[in-house]
Formats: sequence, C-alpha cells, structure tokens
Amino acid sequence: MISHLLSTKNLELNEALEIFDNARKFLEVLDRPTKKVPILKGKLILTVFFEPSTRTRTSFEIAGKTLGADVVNLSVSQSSTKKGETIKDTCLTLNAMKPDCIVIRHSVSKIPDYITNFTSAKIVNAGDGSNEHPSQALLDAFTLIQHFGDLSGKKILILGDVLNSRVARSNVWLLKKFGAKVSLCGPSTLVREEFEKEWDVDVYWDLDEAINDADAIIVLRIQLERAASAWIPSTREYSIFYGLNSKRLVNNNKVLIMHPGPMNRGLEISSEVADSDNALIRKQVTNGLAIRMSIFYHLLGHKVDNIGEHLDKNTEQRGY
Amino acid sequence: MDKILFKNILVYFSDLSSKRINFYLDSSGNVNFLDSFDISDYKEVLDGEDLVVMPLLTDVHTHMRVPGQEEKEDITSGSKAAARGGIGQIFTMPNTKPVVDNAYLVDYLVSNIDKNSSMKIYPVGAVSKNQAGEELSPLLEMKRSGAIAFSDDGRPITTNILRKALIYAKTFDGVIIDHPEDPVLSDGGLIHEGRLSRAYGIKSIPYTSEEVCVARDVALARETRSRLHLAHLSTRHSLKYIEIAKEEDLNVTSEVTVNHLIFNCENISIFDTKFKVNPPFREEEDMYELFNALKKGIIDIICTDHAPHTLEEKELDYSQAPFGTPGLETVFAALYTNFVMSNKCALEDIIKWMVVNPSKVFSIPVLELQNNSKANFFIFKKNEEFLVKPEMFFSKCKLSPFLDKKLFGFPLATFYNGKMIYKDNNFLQTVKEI
Repeated sequence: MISHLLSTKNLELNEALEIFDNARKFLEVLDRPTKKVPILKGKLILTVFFEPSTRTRTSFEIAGKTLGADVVNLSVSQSSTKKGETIKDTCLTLNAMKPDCIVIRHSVSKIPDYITNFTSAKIVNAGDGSNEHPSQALLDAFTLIQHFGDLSGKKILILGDVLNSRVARSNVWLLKKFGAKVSLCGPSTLVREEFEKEWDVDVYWDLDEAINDADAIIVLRIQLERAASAWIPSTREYSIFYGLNSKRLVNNNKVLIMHPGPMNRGLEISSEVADSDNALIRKQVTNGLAIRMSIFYHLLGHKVDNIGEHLDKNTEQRGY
Repeated sequence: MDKILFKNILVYFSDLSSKRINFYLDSSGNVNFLDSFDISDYKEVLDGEDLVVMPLLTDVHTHMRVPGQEEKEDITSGSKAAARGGIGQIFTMPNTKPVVDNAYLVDYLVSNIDKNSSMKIYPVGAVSKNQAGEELSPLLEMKRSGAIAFSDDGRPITTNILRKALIYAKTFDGVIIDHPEDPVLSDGGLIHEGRLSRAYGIKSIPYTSEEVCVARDVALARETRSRLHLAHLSTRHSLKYIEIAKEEDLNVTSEVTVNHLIFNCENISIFDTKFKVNPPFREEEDMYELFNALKKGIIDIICTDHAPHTLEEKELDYSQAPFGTPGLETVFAALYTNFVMSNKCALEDIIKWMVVNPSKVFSIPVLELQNNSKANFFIFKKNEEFLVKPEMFFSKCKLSPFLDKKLFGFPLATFYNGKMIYKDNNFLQTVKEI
C-alpha cells in the first residue's frame, strides 16, 4: 500500500485500480441528499498551497469533509517563505500540529518528496512544478475507464503545453500503465521530440494528423502566466494551429474531450467543443471528488474495515 | 621537529620520474638525501614499503570566500582543507562580497593570507568592476598587488569586456580566465537539460549554454592572440573548439573539476544539494570524454572548484540551495581511487594535470621534494582506505559529494616550505603539527 501519493510514476497498477473501485462507491455517496460518510472522523488534513489554486484545493477540501475529516486550509505565500522560513521549517511546524495528511502544492518539482523527510503525515501531491499532479491523472484515467471500460490500445491524445505541464506528465505515466497508446501534440517547443523516445509515446506536431483515430483528447491549459508564453510566438498563432475547434473534429466526431481546467475558451479549446456532448469536463470535476475521497481513504482509512461495511453502516444509521 | 628518517620511499618528481630514496628531515624542515644511514640516529623512522611522496598539488580554482563570506570559508579553514588534500598552492576567485576588483582588496587579501594561511594562496582579480561586465577593472594595478590572473568567475565575462581584457592583458602577459556560460540559455536552470529534467519538468541548463560561450571565447582568443583559460568545462561539446584552438597554436588552456570526471546526472541523487553545482553534472558520455580530453592534452588542468557554503544554505530545498560543493580535501584521494587504482591513468598523469600544467599555464613554481631544500611534499600510503566522514574536513563546509564513500590515497602528511601543515592522527607519532 502506498504511504504517500507523490506521483503516478511509482504507483502500482493494482493500487490505482483499488482507488478506482472505492471511488465508484464514493460517487454514489455524492448523489445522496446527505453527503457524509464519517470514515475519517477525527483525522486532520491540512491543505498547504504555496501556489494559488481554487478548484483543486476546494476539491480536496470537500473530499476530506465528506469523509468526516477536519480539513484546514493554509495558503502560504511563496514570497514570505523567500523572506525567511525554509520549507523544511514550515513542514516541521505543520508537523507539530499533528496532521494525519498534508496536501501540498508547490511551484518546484519534487518538493512533496522532499517534505516527506520532515513530517510523519501522509503527503498528497496536489501539483509540484511541472512534475506531477497525480490526483488529476487518476481522475482523468477514472473518467476514461468509465467510458471505455478498458484503456488498452486506446489512443489518448494529450494536446498542448506538455513541456510545462504536470497534468501531462502524470497522465503519461499512468495511462501507459493501463496500456493506452499515449500521443502528444503541440508545437515542437512544447512537445519536444525527445519525449517520443524517452517516454515511449507518439509525438505529433500536426494537430489534424494527431486527432485522426484518437479515442480521447486531453486538452491542456495554455498557462499564460507561466513559461509557455516564452515558447510560443503568440496565443493567436497557437490558437490557429493547435486550438481545438469543431472544424478540427469533423473527421472524428466520436472523440471524447477532457480538460483539467480552468479553460481559456477560444484559445486552446473553442466553446463549441467544450460544451459539446462529447466533452467530459464537468464529469471530471465530480469524479475528482470521488477520486480524492478514495485517495484519503487509502492513505488514512482503517484498513481493518472494508469500505463497503462503512457505507452500509451509514446507510442503516440514516435509515435508507 | 625531531629528525625523521624516510626510508626507501617511492618519490615522484615533476619531471615525471620516480625513484625509491632515503632522506631525512632535520629540525628546521630541510630535506637531506642519504646514501646510507644508521637508524639509531633518528627519533622516528618511516619505512617506505607502501608510502609514496608526491609534489604538492596546485588547485587553480577555489573559493576562499574572503572578503565578506567568512561564514562559508576563510583563509585559515580553507588553507587547512587544502593542506589536508595534499595541496600547496591555490587560486581564490574574486566573486566575494565585495568583489575583489581593485588593488586595495588584493592588498587586503594578500595580508590576510600572509597572516593566516599555511600555504601559498594567489588571489584572482575580477575582470570587470563589481563583475558587472560593464567596465574593465584595474588589472595591472591588481597584478602589481599580487593578483595571479583575472576572472569574473561565477558568471561569464561579457563579450565586450572579454575582448578588451584580452587585448589589455597582452601589456603584461596576463591570463584571463572565463567561466563559459550563456546566462540567457541557462535561464535559472537547476540541473543539466536531458532525460531527467524532461521527466521531472525541472528548469534546466542545456549543454549549449557552455558550448556557445566556449566558441565565442575561442574566437576572441584567435583575434587577440592573448592568453585565455577556460574554467570548469562540463560538456563534451565544448572540446572541439579547444582542440582546434590548440591545433592553431592559440594561447587557450582549460580545466575540468575532479567532480565532473566522477559524477554525472545519472549516477547521483539529482535532488541532493551536495550535488548541486554549476556547471551541472551532465551525461555519462560527457564524463568519459572530459577525461579522454585530459589524456589527449585538450584539457590541461584538473581543479576542484571548491565552493563551500553553510549547512543552512545547503539544507535548503534543491531549488533554493546555492550551487557549489567543497573539494579540497578529497581531490587527490578521489583521483587516485577512481583513476589511478583502476589503471585509467598513472600517478604521473595526476602530477601533470595538478602540478606541472598549472605551473606552466600560470607561471608559478613547482613545489616538490628537493635535496638540501625546505620540505615541500605530501605523503600517502597505497592501499590505505578511508571512509569519508564530515570530521575529516577542515573546510567549514563538510557536505562533500564523497561523504560515506570509501576512498584510498588520502594524504597522511603535508609539508610546505619545511613546515608540516597537515598530519593524520595515526601518522608520525613523535611529531606535532605546526
């Protein structure tokens, strides 16, 4: 059993499958009128975000609270850490507050691994630099499996700023474990030719060619505030050649569309595509809650009881 | 010091010869070669079966951090560290606080060295004022005060200033040392750009960051016909420019750090700040090609780029910890263990790269065992293994990349100008370190 969720690279396939199994059960809980399964009552979860985030942090918070845990959110401004406290001291301080789990986001790759040295809490990586965002990849794979049942041989296209994307990396490592045929598409500055060999994926610089026979497309956000802007001449040019719109999908109108959000409508994805029936973007968000509940359950739950018993017990208590 | 007999010791000389000889050190530290001897005349006798006497090494690239960063290193700790490593002469770089960019600071440094150093330390002066790359520093005046060469180390010399400095240095046959790196291409990178930087999405330093600067430097050396020394090469791609420069008989020399001959980004823990150096450790092939370049004479010198930092700084996460790692204590043992013992090179090669060539390139004396002269040598024992521990370090920075590794060939004693400046605890029981 994993002791932290740091990356999908080191996640075993059966661990991912177990997370999915329980996520399916938690999905039902989210549809109940009273959304509470106090499996993690008395557990303290800290979300520590060194980078601004709304949706990921909120998703983790709701997931934790639905399971009955106490969730406390800390926003640590990175400029204040630069002025004095090191990340090591921040973690030692937080650890002294006896959290059971720390959900961390940081702008530097591998910081979540580093802080495991300074806390006895379980660490969940909610995004580290351009390295990984494992819970996002898990929810993406979960969503794809909901639709395809089996991912083996499915061509999953990741479109956009792969170079700077933690979502892309976590998805590449995870989807390959499920036997998916992972393809990347974007301009050669953002989708480097070395990725093909080093990551064992297919690299396309031509979008039409890439879309052809794709089963699903994960559209990445062009992060205007980040490095991407230095690697493309303009967002206009990017949008013309790599923006996903309905014209591009004429020859492949069955392909599923996903996006981790938040979207730049009209830049990497047109509204028409984002709002189409093939788009799973809202479903990803709901699945994200279930996946994050499942992650917390795996890391913090009492292993003696199985989750089914918990769910049944709660159903009885509430008289369903 | 009581009279010590060194009996049947294998001695290496800077002319690359070696022979077994008997000699003794008298009470004033003079070396006296002997044809025959009576053991009872001596307070202590060293039997030389496995003992080897070497010339003192020269390290042309260190950071003594004086003035202004004495919490990282100072002249006393730095020279002790060098003595422990078998070194007798070191260059200290000017990227201090303030930058050593004028004669007054060179004067200060020289007087500090005279007072606190157990060996020869040569200040390197900054090429440009405050290393800002805008105005030439008073090179000639600094040279008069004792600067051995000039460098904006820590960053490359700007193109305009490098050209001016190379032309100006001809006035006094000075050597300009450049740190070849294009900061625009490095762009805040933390590790070598390659498989690992791509896999983890880490800001990285492409090899071309060094290569384009080496190409520029060689072009300027060709135009000016002046003396240029390239610091700490890290990539095989830089070598062809230097090879061409040597073929054309340009005055271009270069160095590589001992660490870049032993480590590459695949054989280290990339997020361990002990291995965070600039230029970064590159690929295995670079490591091999740099060593081959030494053997072919394309690279002239091995240095340490001893760059100490405080524990607090190096304990920061890898993105915030400063670049640099200590190297004075371990340089010889690391070379001996990794290259001499595995027959990749001979002890004579080490002498060439760390004694003879530094002396030629920078016109400084060779310090070695000589009859009727003050003792200048270090001595080590073949096959004696050491586990590298923080306690072995005199440097204020003990976070060596060799920590917990086993190395052979650590110096057991170092003599400089007749004085014993380092002695292992278990060696020479009757004498005390001075």
